[in-house]
Amino acid sequence: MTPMHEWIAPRLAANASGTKTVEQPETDTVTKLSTPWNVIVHDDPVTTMIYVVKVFMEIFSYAQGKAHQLMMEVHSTGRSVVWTGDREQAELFVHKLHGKHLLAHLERSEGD
Amino acid sequence: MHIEREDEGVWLQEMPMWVVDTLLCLPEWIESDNPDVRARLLPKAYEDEQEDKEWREALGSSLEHLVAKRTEIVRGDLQSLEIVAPDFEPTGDIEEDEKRLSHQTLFNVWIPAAHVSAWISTLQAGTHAIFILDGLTAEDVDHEVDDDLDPEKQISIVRLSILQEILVRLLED
Repeated sequence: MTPMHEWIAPRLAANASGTKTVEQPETDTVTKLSTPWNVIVHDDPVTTMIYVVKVFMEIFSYAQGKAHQLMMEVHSTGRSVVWTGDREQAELFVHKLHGKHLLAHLERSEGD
Repeated sequence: MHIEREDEGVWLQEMPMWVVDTLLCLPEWIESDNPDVRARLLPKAYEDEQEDKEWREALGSSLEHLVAKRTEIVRGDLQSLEIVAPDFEPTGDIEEDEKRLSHQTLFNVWIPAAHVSAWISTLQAGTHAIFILDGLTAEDVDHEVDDDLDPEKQISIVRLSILQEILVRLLED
């Protein structure tokens, strides 16, 4: 994963007063940062539906309707993409889901 | 058994012996060395082995410590179990009296408000652990108590069900 400072530092330098703007090769860095990651939650035989809904509401701050919809998707299809975004945040969410004993993992979003 | 809510916490009241026994087994189940239990309670974050290894190295043992800390909280609360004295008249037959007492004795346990979250997580961990340790399957759980099922599995399902029930009732606002 690209450290955040590698992306920010050239921009800070460019915006500082009295400095000369220098073109930086940035395509590769920007691509890595924008690569979305999915947080996948899997169904399991013992977790109750209400527990899953409560966890989704607590961890992702989802409204009850959305949390319920995602829970039903997990229940009926065996898994659901519950969140997509940058890797660092996705890892934090997976860690929290594991702390609640839900089966979850990260995978790169399709098309990358 | 019923749940009584107060501002400072929650009472689990009038629990029969078998429910208390199930709760007292929670730490032992969760702390089991069984590799499948460990894998379920400390699951992979990545399907790719190398990525998962890097993830675990970065994470350290924080999840394991979290599970252990919550289990310790529940273990501590269970130390303060209260016996609800049964309305008991001895018959004079010691064997019969012991049998009646074991069936009639009920227990209360106090869960401080700050511990409720740890209880919920520990109950959740316990359901996964008993499912694995007692060799249950999804079909076993779906059918709940089935006359054709192995009697030991029936007991496991009843214990799993009471953990789920307490968890759901603690989740209620």
